Amino acid sequence: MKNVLKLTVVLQILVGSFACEKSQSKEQQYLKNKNENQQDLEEYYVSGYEACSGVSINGANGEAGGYYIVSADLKDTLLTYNFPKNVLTFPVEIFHSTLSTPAWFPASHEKAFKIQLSYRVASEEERIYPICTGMVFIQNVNATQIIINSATKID
Amino acid sequence: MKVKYYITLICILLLISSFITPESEKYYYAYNEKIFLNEVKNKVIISFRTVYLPEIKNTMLTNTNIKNTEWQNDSICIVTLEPSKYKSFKDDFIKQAGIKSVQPLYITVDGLEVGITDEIVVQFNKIEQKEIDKLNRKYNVSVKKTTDLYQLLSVSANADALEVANAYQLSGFVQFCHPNFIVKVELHQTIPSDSYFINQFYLHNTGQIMANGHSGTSGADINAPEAWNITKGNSGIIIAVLDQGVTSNHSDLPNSRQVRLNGSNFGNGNVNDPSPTGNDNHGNSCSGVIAASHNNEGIAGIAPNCKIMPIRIFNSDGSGISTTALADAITFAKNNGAHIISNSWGFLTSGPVSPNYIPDISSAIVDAVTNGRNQKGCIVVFSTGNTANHVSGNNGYVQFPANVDIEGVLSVGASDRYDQQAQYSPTANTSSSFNQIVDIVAPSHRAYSCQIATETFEAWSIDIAGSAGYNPVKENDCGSLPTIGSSLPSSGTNYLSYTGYFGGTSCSCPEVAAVAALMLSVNPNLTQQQVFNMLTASADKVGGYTYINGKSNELGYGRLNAYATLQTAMATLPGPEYVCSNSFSIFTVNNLPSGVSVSWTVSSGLQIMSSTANSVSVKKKDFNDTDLGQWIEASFLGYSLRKNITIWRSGIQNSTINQVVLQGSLFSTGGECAVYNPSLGIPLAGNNFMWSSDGCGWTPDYQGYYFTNFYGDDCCQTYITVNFTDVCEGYSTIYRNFSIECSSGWSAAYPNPAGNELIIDKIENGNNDKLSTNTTKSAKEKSSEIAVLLYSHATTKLAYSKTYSSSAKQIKIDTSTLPNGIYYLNIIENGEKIKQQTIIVNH
Repeated sequence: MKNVLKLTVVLQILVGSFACEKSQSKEQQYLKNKNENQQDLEEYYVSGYEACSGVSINGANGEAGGYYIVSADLKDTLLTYNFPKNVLTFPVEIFHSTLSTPAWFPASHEKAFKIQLSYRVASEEERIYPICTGMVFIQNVNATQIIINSATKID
Repeated sequence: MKVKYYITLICILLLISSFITPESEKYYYAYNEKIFLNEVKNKVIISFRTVYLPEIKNTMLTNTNIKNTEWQNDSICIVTLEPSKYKSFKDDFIKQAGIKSVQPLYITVDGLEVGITDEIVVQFNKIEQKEIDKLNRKYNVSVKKTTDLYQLLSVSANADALEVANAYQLSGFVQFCHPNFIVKVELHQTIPSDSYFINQFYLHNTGQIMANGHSGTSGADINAPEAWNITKGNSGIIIAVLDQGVTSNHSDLPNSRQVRLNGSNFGNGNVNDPSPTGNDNHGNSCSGVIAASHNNEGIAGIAPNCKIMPIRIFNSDGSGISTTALADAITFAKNNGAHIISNSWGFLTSGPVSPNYIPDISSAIVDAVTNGRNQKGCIVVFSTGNTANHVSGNNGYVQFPANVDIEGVLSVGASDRYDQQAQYSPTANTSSSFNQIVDIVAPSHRAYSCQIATETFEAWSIDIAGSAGYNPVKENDCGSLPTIGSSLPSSGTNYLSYTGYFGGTSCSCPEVAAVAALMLSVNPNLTQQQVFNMLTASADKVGGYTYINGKSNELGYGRLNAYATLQTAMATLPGPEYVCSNSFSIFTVNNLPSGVSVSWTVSSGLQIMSSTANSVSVKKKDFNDTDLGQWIEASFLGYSLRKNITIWRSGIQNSTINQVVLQGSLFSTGGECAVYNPSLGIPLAGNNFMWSSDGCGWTPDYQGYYFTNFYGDDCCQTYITVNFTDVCEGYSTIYRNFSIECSSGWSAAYPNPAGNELIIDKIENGNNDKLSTNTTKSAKEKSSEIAVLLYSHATTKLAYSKTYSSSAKQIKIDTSTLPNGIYYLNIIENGEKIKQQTIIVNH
């Protein structure tokens, strides 16, 4: 009986270590995918815009120089300055302020812009840091700046 | 019987009244009006001979009759006494060595306390100088100072300055004459009448309730009105504002006070037009804080006489330009003469970054602070950014480029209307390797509405005219305020050209830039490092934060104080121009910020006896009769003040040692000489000058330190002697042997003082020995022209130069364009100075 118990413990340890290793592998693979331009099948929401990068209004619609994108599981917050045109149409009313950044979309449009993404993390040389006037409130958001390869709207 | 009774009664009354001696009336003349004075029976004003001051100060400290001493300057104080000791103190104290005068303090019927020393102020009528000299000799006064409007005279020891002044007034020779009163001056504020000034709490906070219903702490401001009492700026000082652009010809910032240059738009659109587009009012608001006119409308700028150079660095969609373009914009400002560069912008990074994060911007800043303003350096100011949220415990960070590690560049955070750190203003982190330093703060709005729901922007400035810009409100901050569609202001002249919703460190940065502009207006030679040092040293250490070595993490060196900073920029080093060889002198730097100490150095002929934070006691090191060319220097905050002084041996006899101080030249047709201190470039100070000569039948006609209009009979040698009470209160005799030129061929210039014209006549019948010598020269050798030169005593520069034919019978010199003052006339012929005379121009 004692030997069975010992064997069970050993087996559990072995299984557990494999599991940890697997979860580490999944983490590493997740990051690897990000850096190696892998298709990411997770769902994201474009949830706000970066107010210092400028906002252009064209009739009933507008576009910003940068957008904040949040993963559906809320694990990741991303920032991009190269969101492709013609994927989403942003109504002008969501660009409510240029006096704080991030400028999150109103509650009515919080989950209005659902997408799938292919992207990679921007290198140091690729990162963009716009200038803000000293009137803008800089909110503390931990966002990873990315370069989008492609984005697909999800209805 | 009855008649006898009444006669007796009248006689008795008369007898009694004879014993009641009315107090003699005291008064001075305000022009022809008598202003009566009453003695304050327990105060006297004492004037000291400065060189004895330290010993006297010690004596006064131990004098039990003195209840209080109030020093007006280094050599005058007002003493409060026990009333019972008043008379005896007055009579006794004057007998002490080193006391120049002890006079009662008087009070006018209006309640103004005035003190009288030994000085009187006079404006003479247009009369002959001889009459003035006669009057001065009669009352034994000496001239201390001459200006365009008045002369300051010193009466002799123990003379009653009030009586002498009244005598002058009654002489008929003066417009006015009165004592040089010592009065208390209250600190005045210059309050503009601009409509919305009352809301500019950041300039003047009395705890007033502002248009938004808020009120703050009285005194939590930058003391702008007090600063305006000193200056509102110089129109030659230019502040570049790198921002979203500035509206052309704004009603509160017309183009006459803007420097709008081709090539100043680095964003999209017309490169030559730095105007904002759309609702981009940020540059306007920053510029309005700096320089909005004081014109009964809108707001009041801090430096309303200075100029704004708008440089646009944002595109029409609100995005910023590239980093190279930003560097170019900074260089553009420097290259086009901006004295100050104000930058209410910074890079949006995820946290603090290297101080050299973008090298081309760092190097542009280095270039500006090193090479701008002819190597004195542009003053470069950055806002720190609004990265903190102290409500939730986030200290934020100082953005780039505010965190550049370049000496003299100012990083400016924000305080609020209560003199507390604004909720969004970053806290310094001195342990960071990213130069996370806040140098100074200036008042701005307290918090965003996503931090404190009832707070939002509340600094007032200018706006794009009409419905564009910040008024009416088009967007919230990060919360629900300000209310979209609301107007602030909502009434008043051109109200849509102004906004009450400005703020952030955006507002704080231009406040500092504007005060730097005021500093350069009063002292244009300050380097950028000196401006930095003075701004930070003069800041108020407010908020109750911990200040270590004068600096806190929350407010840096403190909250900006425009008035204190200006005073520091204008710090002076008064004191005597002489150190007496038998005593010591005290020199004090005025207007030092508290906590700042002076480092003293002296020239080789002097030694420092003792020093305090702002004073030094100095005496001569080695004995020499007089040592010219000595100096003392006070260094503080990277700035130095130097004062030239002379060591003077009291009671000098024999001019052979001091020949340099008796200058002049004499001719048989007239001349002049002066007791002069060439190391200081000014006449020698002293009193009771008495001139004499011992030969040639000369008649002296003297006035104080210089002796003019000698008239003699013959060519000969003569000793000119002057006796006077010297600055060390000894009795000095200086003499010099002059060889009288037989004839210059030209008379003394007249009239002297001159108005619009000065005349010199050719002498046809004088002793022409010299002239005869000249006539033996060949026609080729003899000059046909003479040069007439006038040097200004005030500027030491040549003020007038013209050649005339030597055959002219009369020379007329046009003095109408010369400022009033003292000039030195030289006539040059054949390369030789044949005439020298001191001239006064007085239009």
